[in-house]
Amino acid sequence: MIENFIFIANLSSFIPLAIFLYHLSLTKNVNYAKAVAGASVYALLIFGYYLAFPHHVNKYFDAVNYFGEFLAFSTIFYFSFNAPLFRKIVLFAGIAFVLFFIIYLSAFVITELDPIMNSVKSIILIVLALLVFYEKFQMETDKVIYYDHKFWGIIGLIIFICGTFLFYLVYTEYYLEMQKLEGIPLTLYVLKNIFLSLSMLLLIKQIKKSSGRKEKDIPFLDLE
Amino acid sequence: MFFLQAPNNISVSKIVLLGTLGILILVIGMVFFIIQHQRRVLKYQQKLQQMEIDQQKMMLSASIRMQEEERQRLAADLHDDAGPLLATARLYLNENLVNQDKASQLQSIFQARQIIDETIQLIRNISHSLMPPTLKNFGLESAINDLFQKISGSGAINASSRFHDYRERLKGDKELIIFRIVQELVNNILKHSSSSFIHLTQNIHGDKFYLRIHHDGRGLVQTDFEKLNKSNIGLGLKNISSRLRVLHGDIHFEKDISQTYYKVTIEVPRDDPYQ
Repeated sequence: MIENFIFIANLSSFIPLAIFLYHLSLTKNVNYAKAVAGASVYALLIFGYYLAFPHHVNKYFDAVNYFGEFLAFSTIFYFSFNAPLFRKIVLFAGIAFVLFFIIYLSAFVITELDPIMNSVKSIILIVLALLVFYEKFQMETDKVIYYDHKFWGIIGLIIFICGTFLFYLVYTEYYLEMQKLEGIPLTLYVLKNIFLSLSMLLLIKQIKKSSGRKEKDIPFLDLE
Repeated sequence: MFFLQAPNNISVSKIVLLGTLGILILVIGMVFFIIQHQRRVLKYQQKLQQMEIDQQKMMLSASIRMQEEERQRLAADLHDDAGPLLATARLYLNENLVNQDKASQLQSIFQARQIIDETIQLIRNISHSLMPPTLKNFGLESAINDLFQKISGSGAINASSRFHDYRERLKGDKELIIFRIVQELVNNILKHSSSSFIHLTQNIHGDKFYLRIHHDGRGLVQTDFEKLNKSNIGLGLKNISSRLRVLHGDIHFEKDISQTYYKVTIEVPRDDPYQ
């Protein structure tokens, strides 16, 4: 049963990637830096999940997983901000996490679903997600926040981060009991992918809408 | 995990499950709160904006009407002032002038010249802002055809116009505003484009009235128009925009797919939304 669920969850991660690639094909002037960053983020998210329940390969295996996930999420947050100040905050948060990561890695062995590592990562990401909401909330706009494609992406990420916070926090200590709840992170993972897909679809809709006014077929208005 | 130490009768999995649910409900609640609050703020802002737009429209409409009334008054002035002045000048230059002595002749010629100068000045001042009688009496089609014939008659440029569907005249104000827009556009083309032809076409599609001007000179595309509209220069284009706002109309500047000429399309609703 859980194997099927894992399969579905893994499969779901390819949907936003496929939509992202379709979005790139629609974009006339592709910003290659953003495209590479976006594709890497999705690759990391997909790859990260394969690493989420791994058997230990070596002691750095999980460390790379945490780092990759943090990098992927914070990249999405970085591009979700408009104000340079908030982007700087993401960079500072990234530096702080890297410092913590190095100190922690040199002092302890990072275990599979390490509670401290997970907590620090999740708290930083939750704060960043709240900052994204704060920025969107403060912006003067004539449209409600849910018309912004970034909003749905952030919702997906915040639901995933917040929903898995407690689970990962106690996973190591109550390993046997938590195995019964493995459906929670899987469900949230699928939900996150659904929201990311929704976000990409909204972006595509906006691109198509703004891709230029279509010439109306009005007879005799043009030079013959 | 002291705070997560489960009491004997409750399992950790239940606590985690309930805790996770609680966190998710909090997150979703927060998002709903943000959305609701933003919707309320936006609604209020839209209301304010609408009020502001209505007020602006009223002001614009009033100012355009006042302008046109002023023009009509000037037309009347021309008739009432320039006519008598010229008649007076004619009196000074009547056939008895040859029978008068030289001093009287010079005096009469001097007076007549002064009156003619005065009249020229008067006509010069008001002729630019006259209400085109063709527009008033025969409508937009005739006024535009007349304008284009005059331009073509100068020999400098080939100007032509064709109305495909103008069976019913638009309301007076509307015709005048559209005519002023066309005048402004044509003036700009003559001044800046160095084109060899201007062609205007008209048609109706659905509930919209369309006018399209083509020319083969240097032109603007939509981004240029928007840039000029936001800058301090381009007063004529700003006038076009404000006139179109009154009509709830739209204007689009583009280059034809063949890249050989520019097109300016004016789109105006047939129903009068501001009256």
